[in-house]
Parts: sequence; C-alpha cells; structure tokens
Amino acid sequence: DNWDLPMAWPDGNFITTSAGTFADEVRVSTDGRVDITIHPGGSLGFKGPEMLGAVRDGLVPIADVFLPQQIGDEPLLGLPGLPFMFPSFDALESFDSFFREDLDEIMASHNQKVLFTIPWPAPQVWVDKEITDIESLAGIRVRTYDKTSTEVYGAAGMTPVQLPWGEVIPSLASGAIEGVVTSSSSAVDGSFWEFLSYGYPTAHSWNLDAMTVNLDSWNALSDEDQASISKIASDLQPAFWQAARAEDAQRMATLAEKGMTLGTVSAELHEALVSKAEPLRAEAIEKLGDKGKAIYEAYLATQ
Amino acid sequence: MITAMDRVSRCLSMLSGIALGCVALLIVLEIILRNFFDISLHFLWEIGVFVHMGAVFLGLAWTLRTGGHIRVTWLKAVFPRGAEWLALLIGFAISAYVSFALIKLAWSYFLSGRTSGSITDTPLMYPAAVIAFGASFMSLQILLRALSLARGLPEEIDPAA
Amino acid sequence: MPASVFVPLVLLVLVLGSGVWVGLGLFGIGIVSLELFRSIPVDKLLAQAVWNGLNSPELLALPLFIMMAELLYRSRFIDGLFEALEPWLRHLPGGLLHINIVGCTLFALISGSSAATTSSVGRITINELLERGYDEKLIHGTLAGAGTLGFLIPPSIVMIIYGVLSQTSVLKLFAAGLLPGLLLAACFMGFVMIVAFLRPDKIGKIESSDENIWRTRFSRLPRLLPFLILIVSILGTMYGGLASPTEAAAVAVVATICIMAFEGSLSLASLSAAAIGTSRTVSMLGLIIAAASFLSVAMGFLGMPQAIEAHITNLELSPLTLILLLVVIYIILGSFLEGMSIIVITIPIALPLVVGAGYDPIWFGIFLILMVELAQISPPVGMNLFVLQGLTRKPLGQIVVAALPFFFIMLSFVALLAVAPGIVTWLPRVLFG
Ligand code: NA
Ligand code: NA
Repeated sequence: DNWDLPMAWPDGNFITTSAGTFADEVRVSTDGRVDITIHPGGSLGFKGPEMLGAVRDGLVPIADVFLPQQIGDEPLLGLPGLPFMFPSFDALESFDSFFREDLDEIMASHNQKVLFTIPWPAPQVWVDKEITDIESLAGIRVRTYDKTSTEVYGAAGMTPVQLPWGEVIPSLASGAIEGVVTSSSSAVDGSFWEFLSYGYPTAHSWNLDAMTVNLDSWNALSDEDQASISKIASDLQPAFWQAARAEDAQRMATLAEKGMTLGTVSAELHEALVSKAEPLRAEAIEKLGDKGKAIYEAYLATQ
Repeated sequence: MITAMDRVSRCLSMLSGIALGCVALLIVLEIILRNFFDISLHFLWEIGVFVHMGAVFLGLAWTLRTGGHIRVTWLKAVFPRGAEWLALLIGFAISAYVSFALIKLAWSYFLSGRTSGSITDTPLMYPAAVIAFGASFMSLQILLRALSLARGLPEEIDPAA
Repeated sequence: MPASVFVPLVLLVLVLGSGVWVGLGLFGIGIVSLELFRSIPVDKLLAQAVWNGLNSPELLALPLFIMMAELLYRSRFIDGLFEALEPWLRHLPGGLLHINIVGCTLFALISGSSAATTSSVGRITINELLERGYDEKLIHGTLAGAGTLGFLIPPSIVMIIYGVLSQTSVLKLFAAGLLPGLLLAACFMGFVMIVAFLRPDKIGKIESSDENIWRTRFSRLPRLLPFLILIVSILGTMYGGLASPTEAAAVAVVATICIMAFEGSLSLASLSAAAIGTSRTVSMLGLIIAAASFLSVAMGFLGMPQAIEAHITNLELSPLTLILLLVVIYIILGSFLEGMSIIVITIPIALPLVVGAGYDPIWFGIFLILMVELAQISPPVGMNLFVLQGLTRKPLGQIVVAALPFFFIMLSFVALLAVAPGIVTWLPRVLFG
C-alpha cells in the first residue's frame, strides 16, 4: 500500500528526518508492501490541529500527531504538556513509558494505533535582557503560542502576546515584542540572534509528537507486516528520542556560536515560576476529568 | 421570494463587512492597550480569523447575486443562454456538494464537542455552522438564479442598488 | 503520464471553460479527480481543506487591506493622489499611464497583496485615464503588471508565507524584494515610454499646459498628505515597534476612517458601501483560496508533486537549465493555480532541487514571488485578471491580451535576475550581513 504521511514540520526538521528513517525501514522490511510517502511542511494540506481527526476519519492512513494541538478534540492529550510537570528530559522520557499504555487506549478510542512517540526540545524564553529573578520578567512583551504558555508567562508577570509565527520575526525586528517563548529549534530557524541576546531554559512544559496509524489501515496488513512494523517502531523510538536531545544540543551550540548568551534559571526563579503556575496546573488537571486526574495521580505516585 | 432572498443576502454581506471593521477597531485597541497598559487581548487573532472565515462565507450569496464571483466568459459570449444554464447546473451541483460537506463538518464538531483548544476554547461548531450556512445560502441563491433565468428576469443586480 | 495526473489537468480546462464560477469550478475538479482515483471520504477531506485553507492568521491582513482600499475608494483621497501625481507625470512620454505604475509602486509600499494593489489603484485611475483618451488595453495592462508589485515590494503576504515554509528570514526577503520591485517598476515605465514613442495615438491628450507647470506641481503636493499619513501610520507603527505587520494594516484602516472624517467624506452611506464592497471582495477571494487549498490537497493525494519531482531529478540538469525548466513549470502551474497554493505545493519539491544546484534560498524566494506574480496575470486563473475583470466588467480574454506584454517584461526580468542574482542579494547583505 502507498501510505501518505502528512507532517506539519518542514523538510529537514529532525522529526521529519526521523519519520523518513522509519519509512525507509518499513519499506525494506515489508518488501515495499507498505510504502510511506512523507508530505512535509503541511504540503498535504494538514497543518496540525486536525491530524488526530484526519487519521480517525481515514483521510490519511498515518500521521505525525502533535499532541498539545489536539486538546480541543481530546483533552487528555494535554496531560504531558501540563505546566512544570517534568524537570528534565529524563523525567519526560520516563513519563513517556509510564503514559504509553494510556496513550494507546486514548488513541484507540480515536480509531488509531500509536507506533512511536518523539519529543520536542523544551520551550525556552528568549529575551533581549538578562533575567535574574522573577521581577526582571515584569512587563516584557513576549510572544506565546498557546493557552498554557500564555497563562504561565502571564502569571509570571510578563505581557504575553499571541502572534502567528509569520508575524514574530518582523515584530521582533521592530521591537513590537521583546521576547519569544519557543524551542531552540525555532530560535535557530528564526535567526533570533539578529534581535535577541539571552535564552533561558524555563521549560514550562514539554511537547510530544506521536506517529499514529489508522486502525482500519493497520488491520488490513498481514500479521507478519504488523509485527515487523511494530518492532521497527519500538526499536527506533530510543534513537528518535536521542535525536531530539542531539537536536537541542546542536541548536544550542549554534545559538551560542552566533553570540547568544545561554543563561540558567536559578533555583529561586524556578521556584517562583512554579508557584505562580501552580493554580493554572490545578485548574488544567480539573479540566482533564476523572480519568485524567487518575493518570496524573498515578504518575505522581511513581515519582 | 427572490426579493426577500436578496434582502437577506445583502444583510449578511453587510454584517460580514461590519464584523471585519470591528476586528480592525479591536486590533487598534489591542495595540494601544499593549503598548501603554501592558494588556494584550489574547483572543483577538483567533476571533479575527473566525470572523474572516465567516465573512467569506456569509458574503458568498450576495457576491454571486451581484456578479462578484469570477468566471471565464468565453463560452457565454457565444451561447449566452445555453452557457448560463450549463454554469448554473454544474455550479449548483458543486455548491451543493460543498455545502453538504461543510454541514457534515459542523455536525461532527457538534457531536464531538470539539473546541479550538486555545485560550478562547471556542466550540468549533459555531464558526463551522456559520460557514455551512453561508455555503448553503449560496446554493439557494444559485437555484433562484435559475428561476430568474427561466422567467426572463435579470440574473445579476447592481451591488449599489 | 498516469491518468491521475492527466485527467485533472483536462478537467481544469473543461470545467473552467464551461463558465462556472472559478471558485466552485476548482472545487469540482478536485472532487471529481479524487472520487475517480482515490478511495477516501472526499467530503470530509474537502471540509477539512476549506477549514485549514482559511483558518490561517497570516491571511487576516488580506481583508484589512481590502477594507482600506474600499474606504479609500469612497474618500477624496483618490482625486488627491491623482491630482498630485498628474502634473509630475503628464509630460513624460506615455503621460498619465505612468500614474498606474507609480501609483501601484507607492501603494505596494503599504499593501501586502497584489489583488488589493491592483483594485485600489485601478478603481482610482481606470475611469480618469479613459476619459482622457488613453488606450484601454494599455490602461488594463499597466495595472495588471504594476499591480503585481504588491507582492514583490514589501510588505508582502506571500513573502511571509515563503519565509515561514522555507525557514528563511522574512526580513531579509523583504529587503531582497525592494530593489527588484523598484527596477521592475522602472522597466514597466520604460515599456510605456517606448509604446508612446511608437504609437502616439494610444496616449491621451495633455490638458491645458499654458500655466506655470512648476507652480502646479508644488501647489498640488499637499494633496499627497493623506497618502503620507497612511504610509507613516503603517510603517511608523510597524518599524516603530508598536505593531506587527498585520496589525499595522488595521491601523491603516482606522487611519483611513480618520482621514475621511477630516475631509468630510465619512458618512453612513460611504461606510456601509465600503462594508459591502469589502465583503464582496473578501468572499470572492476567500472562495478561491478555499477551493485552491482543497485542489492542492487533492493534487497531493494524487501524487502530482512526487511524479513531477521524480521526472526532474532523472534529467540531471545544469543549474541554469534547472531554473529554465522551473520557469516553464511555474508558468504552467501558474496558469491554473492561485499564488499561495503554488508556493505551498512546490516548495517541498523545488527548494531542495534549487538549493542543491547552488542557489541562495533568498534569491529563490524572490524568483518564486515573481513566478507567483506571473501567475497573477496568466489565464485562465489569474487573480489580477479577475480583479480587473471585476473592476471593468470587460471579457477576460481582452484583459489577458492587455496584460500579455507585461507578462513578457516580467519574464525577461526573471532572466535578468538569473544572470545577475546580486540585484536580489545585495540589499539584504548590506543590511543584515
Ligand atoms: Na507590498
Ligand atoms: Na494564472
């Protein structure tokens, strides 16, 4: 079968590259019976928030689903993106294996199966001045991208401005905004060193992608092909997570090389940010309903 | 019947123009608030996009009625009446298909309760319903155009009228 | 060529030729092609593509600039611009035809879209020039050609989209577009002068010119004031760090209303006429954008981009031949597709090919913008042609013929950029290193 795989991310992005590796191995191991064609950069017309529905309705057999964008459709997928849930990449990785069974179940209820997950580097705060404590964040006009980032940095005293990505660079250039919350990948893509000087790894939330396949398409495969695709997916996942780490490290190196100061978030600042965000987290968990709360509490118990 | 439809179509068009004007005013308000009071209206971009989507579809019928939609008129220059019937037939079939697809989209958003998942958390069935309504209204306007053609009335009217 | 690539192309010609409204026709082509060749729920795909095509914040600048144009049309600003430029341009060979070009160039500095530039300036100038006896074809042609500068001269919606998709700096793209934009405008003016020399009968008469021309020139300059206010309100808020580019468009709308209030042209009647005019243009463009985004999804599902990429890679071309081939392909695509779709569909195929051949992504961006501009004035689907058809209510064929010389000027200009890429890369290098 020819499987069209829509990606919201552009060609050359590490997730697109990872999907390419996966597609190649699947093609070889199934002797071309499953031939995945990747459509990067939204070129198949799917931009992100509708990926879950696109796989569910069989518009595409397989897709890269960016979980935080699906919460309008499935609030539980917002769980990994709760404010200040994971202090480190390692914590995220251990949560991923904890959460996988529930994720499989959630996705199955949307007529799809998870093949593998892949994380984004954590979002950071990129600004034009040095940040030492919570007071130094006050009033900085910062571009945020979703509900969580808007609320978290608003609570921290900044002035969050929601702008589409296309408006970010001109706004930075003119000074209409003085900072951006985004990952190191996007910071390099946007040549942030042309406008900003400092980056701080606040990591207010983490974002996961899942490669999911429509269950009808999946069930149409032979048992043998299913087994070999599942094996490829689980074998490759650690490498993809490693690629995400490498991506972050490499992008951070580029940013440093271009002259940006990569700062650290002091324990006091982190403490202050977390405590300001605590009511938001409580509210978000409340909105997840009983099942979401149960998963969250079970996860906390393992910590 | 035709006159009543025209009045409604014109009102919908006016409504979408006014809504876009309000978006412009709100954006200017946002600029003032943000630069002088450190306040940002987070809902603005999202609402602006919804208003634009709604405006596109609510204006479809009046635009059709006043000849604002673009078409290739080579065939019509040779066979004025035959070509108009052909265009109406194909146009209605497509418009009905599109309307039907958009009604189904709105209905699926209603059933799933899907929201935009953003700061406004807008239930998507509302904008989707507006869009589906606008498309259906255009389909209806195409039917009335066929009626006008059959009865020898003018198919298009002057937007300034 | 497989049937799934060939049939949609034939359908495109048949359906649009039947005289059905273009927006609906594009939908129809996608629907039939997908129903024929793919077993997917086409209605769901269509609804999703419509939603995605329009649910885009980058598009919001479009209705704002259209609204500004509709308001300006109902103000006295129109006459002011015309009167102020007229004494400066009337003695040039070609006379007031240059108003179309200079007007579009100025307007492009505040507008991000070609369609809005063409319609705003066209509404101002078409009747005035006709009254003065200028050749209708030349009026339409200069407008169609110079109107496309709305995309090439910053700010530009299409450049923003290219920048985002290709991960190149939008600011550099803006800077890269300025010089080619002004040069192209100069080429258009040169062409008008040549025509004026060869065919003086096509140029209107100069009105009473016994007065002191310099006194007229300067005494009419204050009538440019509203235009200056507008430019300052856009560039000032944008470059002054008060607003993002789209937000600046909203400032321009409000500034226009203020100008109208000041000169006394603001009334309930003018406001409601502008509201309906905005809605009509927004609906017309929106239906086509929605349909084009569905059609491009349909083409993706039919495997068109891959089929094309595979063919090109097999040819192993030299860099310049590659560009030549791309020009041919873009002209064909541009005949049928709307600019935004062309960019979205082709970037994944063309950008790696071009960068691999040693071209700068910024240069390719400007090249692509020019290709999109060509698409705006090539039949049967060309946004500027449609805008002009809407303005003049003339047959499309007549407008196509009028635009043809400008199509070839732009094509030659692309050739110039291919041999002298420095025209594009010089300014961004000076400004941003
Ligand atoms: Na422009
Ligand atoms: Na064209």
